[in-house]
Amino acid sequence: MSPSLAEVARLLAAPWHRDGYTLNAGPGGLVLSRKGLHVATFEADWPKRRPPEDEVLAAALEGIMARIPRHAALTVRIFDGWSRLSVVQWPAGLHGRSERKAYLQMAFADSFGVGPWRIVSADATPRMPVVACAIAESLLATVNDACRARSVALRSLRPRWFDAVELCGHACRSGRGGLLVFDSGVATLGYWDDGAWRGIRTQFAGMALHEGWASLSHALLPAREIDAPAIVHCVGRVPPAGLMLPAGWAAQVHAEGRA
Amino acid sequence: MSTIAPSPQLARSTRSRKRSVAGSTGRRVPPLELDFIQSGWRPGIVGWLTLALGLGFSAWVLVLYSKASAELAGEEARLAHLTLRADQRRIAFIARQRETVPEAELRRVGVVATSLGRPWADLFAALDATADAQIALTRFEPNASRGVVILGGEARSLPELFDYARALGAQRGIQAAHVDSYAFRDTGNAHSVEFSLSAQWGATP
Repeated sequence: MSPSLAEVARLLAAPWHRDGYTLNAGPGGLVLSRKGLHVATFEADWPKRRPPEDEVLAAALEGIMARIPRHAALTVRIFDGWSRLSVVQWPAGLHGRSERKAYLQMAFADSFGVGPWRIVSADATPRMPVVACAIAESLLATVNDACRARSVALRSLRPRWFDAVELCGHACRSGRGGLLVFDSGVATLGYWDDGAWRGIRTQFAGMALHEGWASLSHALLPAREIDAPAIVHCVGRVPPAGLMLPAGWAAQVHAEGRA
Repeated sequence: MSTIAPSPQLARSTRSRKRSVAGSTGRRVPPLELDFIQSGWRPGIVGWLTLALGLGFSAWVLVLYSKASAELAGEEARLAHLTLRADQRRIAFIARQRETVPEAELRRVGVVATSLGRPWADLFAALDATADAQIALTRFEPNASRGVVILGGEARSLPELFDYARALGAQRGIQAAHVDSYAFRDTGNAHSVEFSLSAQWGATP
């Protein structure tokens, strides 16, 4: 059957409403927005350490994506707790993308359990550690299937922590510092020094986040003994108990981050 | 669930990164742009249509250009051929012009040349040498193209007139002198003879 005139018009107009819709997925459910304006919500109580079952997520996606016109573009941001972040130091002797990919699969399986994981990493830089991120293969497949069923162009999918990195801009790229993001009761801390990310860790602490956070920051951030402290940028809901940082570090809590 | 959004404080800290990040070592962290969708932006149907139109237009322009180039090359060759022929014709025309002078012009040139070539000095020397008080010349009509000079005047008597004609004919440069006509004039006490005389002068052209 040939497409209707309206279908052709929508196809032709598709490039102009590509940047309209953003879907945030997390333990509280799904929130659909367009250019910062709320469109629809699907409330849920999903786990924080892993995404919900594929069938559950697919049903929720089907319901909320009915609000998106066909051929529109969609940006998906997922909860940090559903992803696994790590800083990888490439061992000597690795050559080519396939070897690096195999090494990442092995390293993530060792650290976070057998996947299957879909892993992406920054470009390989000789002798420099790089950031790698993994999500469950089934999560990506479920989102892809939902988009395909609705003829929606999936433009981007990544954890929200990367948005915070992007927001920090140059502050996250110069000298030494840290970025701490509190997202739905989960803290993800990354720190950089001397031109490279040195460590990223996620803390699932629930209500006792501040206790877990203290151990996380002391485990990850090296104590320093200099006059001017390095800054940890804090984004998200900071625990009421406040932040405890090792010596030589100071927190800069941004307005959005206050509880 | 919370959504990360830019805050004024964060934006300020971004602008004043040198102040906010203490203990800088100078080396910058490369941008972190990880995404599970690797394909990035894909052009829509309008994009593909525009590309197809652009390619088609480019091909059309290329064909037009090649045709125009071929035509230009042909026209340039034709122009070169015509220029060569025109040059040849012009050269031939100039050569012919140099070889053939028009008859009338040649005649005019001949007349002028002949006129200039007549021995005018001989004529005037002959008239000077034969000047006589008994002969008064009142008419002098030289015809250089024909080599004839006609003289008119008055003489005291007919014998003196013929003596003058004979003396003139004997001068250098004068071939012959003839009295063409004469008439007696009688004015009271004085008698005179009016005459007209012609003489061949210089070489006949």
